[in-house]
Amino acid sequence: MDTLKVENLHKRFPVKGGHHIFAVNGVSFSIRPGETLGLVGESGCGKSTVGRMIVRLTQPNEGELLFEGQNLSHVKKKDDRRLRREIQMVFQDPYGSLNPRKKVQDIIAEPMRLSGEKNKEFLKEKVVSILKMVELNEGYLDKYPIQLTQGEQQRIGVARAFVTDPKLVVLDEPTSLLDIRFRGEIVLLLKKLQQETGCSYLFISHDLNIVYQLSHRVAVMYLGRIVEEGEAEQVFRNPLHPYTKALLSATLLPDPKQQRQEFFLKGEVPSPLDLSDSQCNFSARCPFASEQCKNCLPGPVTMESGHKVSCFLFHEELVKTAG
Amino acid sequence: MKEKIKNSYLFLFLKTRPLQTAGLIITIFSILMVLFGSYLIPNSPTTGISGEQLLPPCAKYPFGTDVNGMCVFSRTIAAYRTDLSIVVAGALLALGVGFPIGVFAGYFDGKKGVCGVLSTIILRVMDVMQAFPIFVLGLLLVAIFGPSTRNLILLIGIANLPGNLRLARSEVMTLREKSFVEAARTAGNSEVRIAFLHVAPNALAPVIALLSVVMGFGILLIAGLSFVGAGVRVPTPEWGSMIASGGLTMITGQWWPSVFPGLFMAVTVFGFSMVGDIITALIDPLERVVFESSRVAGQKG
Amino acid sequence: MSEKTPAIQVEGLTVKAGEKYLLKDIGFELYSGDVLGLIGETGSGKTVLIDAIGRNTAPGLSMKADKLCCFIDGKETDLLQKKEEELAATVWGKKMTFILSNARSRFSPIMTVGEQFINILKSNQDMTDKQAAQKVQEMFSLVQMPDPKQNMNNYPHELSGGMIQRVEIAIALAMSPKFLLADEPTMGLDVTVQRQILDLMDGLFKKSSSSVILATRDLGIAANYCNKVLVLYNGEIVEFSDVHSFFENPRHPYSRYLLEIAFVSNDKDPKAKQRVFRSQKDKGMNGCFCSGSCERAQEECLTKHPQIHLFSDGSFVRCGRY
Repeated sequence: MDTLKVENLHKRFPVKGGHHIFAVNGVSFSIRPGETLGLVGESGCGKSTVGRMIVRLTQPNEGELLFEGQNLSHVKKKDDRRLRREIQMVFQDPYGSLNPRKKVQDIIAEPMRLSGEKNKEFLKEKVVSILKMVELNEGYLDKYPIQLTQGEQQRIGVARAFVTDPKLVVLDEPTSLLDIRFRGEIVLLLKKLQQETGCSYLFISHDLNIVYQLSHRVAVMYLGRIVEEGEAEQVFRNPLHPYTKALLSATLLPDPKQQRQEFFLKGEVPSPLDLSDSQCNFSARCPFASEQCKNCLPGPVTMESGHKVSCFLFHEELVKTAG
Repeated sequence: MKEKIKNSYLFLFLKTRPLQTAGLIITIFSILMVLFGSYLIPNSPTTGISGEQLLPPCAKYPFGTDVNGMCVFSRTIAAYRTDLSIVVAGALLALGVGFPIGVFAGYFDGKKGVCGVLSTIILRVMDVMQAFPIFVLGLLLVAIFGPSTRNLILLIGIANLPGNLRLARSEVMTLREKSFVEAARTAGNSEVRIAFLHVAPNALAPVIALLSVVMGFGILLIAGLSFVGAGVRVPTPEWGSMIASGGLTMITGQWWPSVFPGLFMAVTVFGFSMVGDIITALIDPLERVVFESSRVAGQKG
Repeated sequence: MSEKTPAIQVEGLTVKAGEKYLLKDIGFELYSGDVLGLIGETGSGKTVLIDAIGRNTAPGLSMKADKLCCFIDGKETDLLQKKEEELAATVWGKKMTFILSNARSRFSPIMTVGEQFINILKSNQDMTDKQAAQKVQEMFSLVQMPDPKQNMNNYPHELSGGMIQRVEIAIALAMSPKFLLADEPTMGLDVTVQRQILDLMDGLFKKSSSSVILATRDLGIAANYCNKVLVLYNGEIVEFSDVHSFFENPRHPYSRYLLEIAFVSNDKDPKAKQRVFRSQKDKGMNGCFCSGSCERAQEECLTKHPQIHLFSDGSFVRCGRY
């Protein structure tokens, strides 16, 4: 059974004047146990909102969220505690996500305390063992966040997420605010933890290099919709959707020998304000856009390779091969 | 032992802050006066000897006597107890009531539900309270309930409640957007727990620093009321009323009944307003950590 | 191949905050057309260095240097001794411009971006309002603002982060500067926007052979847009070389670590799997901060602070092993 199954998720935010921000518009995907799904996209694509709905920081307007078969909206009190243990989150801001006036040991112990654990010795032991797991020693127990480096702060954030032995961890841009050195270190740590615990990850990021390192599968989002989804190798080596192609060509590799790919996309990501669903929202910037793209929203099409893409270019292909 | 003191956090902190150190000394002196002042008083602070009015400073009366023949020195020292106890109680009242309500109002401001509505109501009540001139309120209280120390404490409490509340509220409104609040929510904290166990401690520092300023102004407020006769009852020694009654005699050249209490009052108010920083430094674990790391960094070179 | 005319020279630049060194003994040389990637962590001194060259160090900091100059039209212009007013009149805003990260903070919220841009232009050059407005529109089109005419009348809060950053870049490029100092100019921008802006800047630099110092945390940016690299750590120079040698064969263990951890090898198993870098920063001036994790570390690396070793091609590295 899938650890997480997301079905047709919608979220809109009302804005003054009767308008709406259409943040998430019909997102569906699933994550298997021990698997990492990378959710990529630029600002305004809704990826963070998806993550927050999964940890129940916000409720979807439509759609289903199933964790191990259980519906995440309308959770009963007795299930709430268990779910809090099993689904956790690592935040973007390494310092901001830690209470500045709490010691490291209190920060890490809290999720366990809240899920009912009262035994002080057990708590301390667990905290120390989690610290070891994130490669920090006991000396960190009494420190305050401000005394730690960025990398250490984010390790504490990771420790806090793992202390309750979760089955699914949502990571919301955990490396975007970190320096080069710490980024790589955290990614290696996350890889190690996944191998050790068999936990699933929803890895949300705009950094394609890092997503590639961690993810088994990747879903690309644009203006609240998934435009392409598939095995990480496939999506990165053979991108289908024009937007995915644009994203990949925009990525800069740290290798001066490789000529950077030509980048063809112009302009900015449009605002998700009052988004229409009667056309492909990428058509305004797409070099391959046709009349059809401006009048109709393309649904997902599954290619032979298992690769899913929402673009009329591929509808035609399928039609062609069928006909 | 001496080494221990020299290297202690407090000592090192004070070394870099001369004004606050002066404030601390003044405040400690004031506290000592409150506790032990009665032993230093040579003469009665509440009864005067007729025939010994308006004597200039001399051996028997170090600060001279006032228009009622009472020893100015004794009254000035005794006034510490009067003024300070009223002012400290009032400030703590304002803090004790204002802070938690302010945290509540700040955290639930704009949110849907009962709490959000309550938060808005609280704010409107504050608007009304703040629209009232404190002084007039004080006179009103006295007119209705008569002058007494209890009324003065209440007055200072009420006068400073909106300030404390709003300060707490604005701090909390900034803090609640931080991601550690979201992290606390994700971990399973209820909203009320987050507001009071996670956010409130982080909002405490500026409000505590405000305490000392409140006390300083409180002294001035009582003095002002006493000046117009709405403060403490005669012959309770209180700086404000002393300045008031002494004011009449200034014109005829007898400066001592007014100036001495005035001086003590000014210095005490100053002392209190400087102490806020020290209180924050002592209570707040973060302040200490920051201070210590900046010290260490400075030494590295 | 353009001639190697010197552009910027820095020697012995030191900035202190009280007793603490923010920058210690920085020295390097750039030629016209060079784009220098300034790499370092937070706290390494990148921003302090850019501020120092622009004589914009925060109050309370002390700065001194043996040499700090740039070359305008072949003539050496001392940036250290000259009075600020003189530099403001002749160099800053005209020949040498700056792009700061977090551009939004430098704009006044109560004036439109067009007005502010015009004011800046007029204070640096003799222009009528009409000429300045025209120039603004020109620059806005150049940086691909979505609607140059309309955007001129926008207030800063009405523009997205990407747009504000582009305005900042437009301002910096408007005077066709000979020297550009950019402090993480595209930080926080979307990948696609960042790429457009960098490509644009790249094109402009090549045309005018400006010398650029580009502070960045992104090795990808350094690899693709810079021809030289300077790595800072804790206020000191760690390594300086041309971009190809740096990425192919980094000399300093810190540089090697950065490259490994940035997944230069584009496969899924980076070489730096086992090693966690423990900085020996707390050793202060004794020994090398990498002595805990460097394979080539020897006895003296633990106790003696390494000096700069200069190579024949002009590159240098701070390491006792050379």
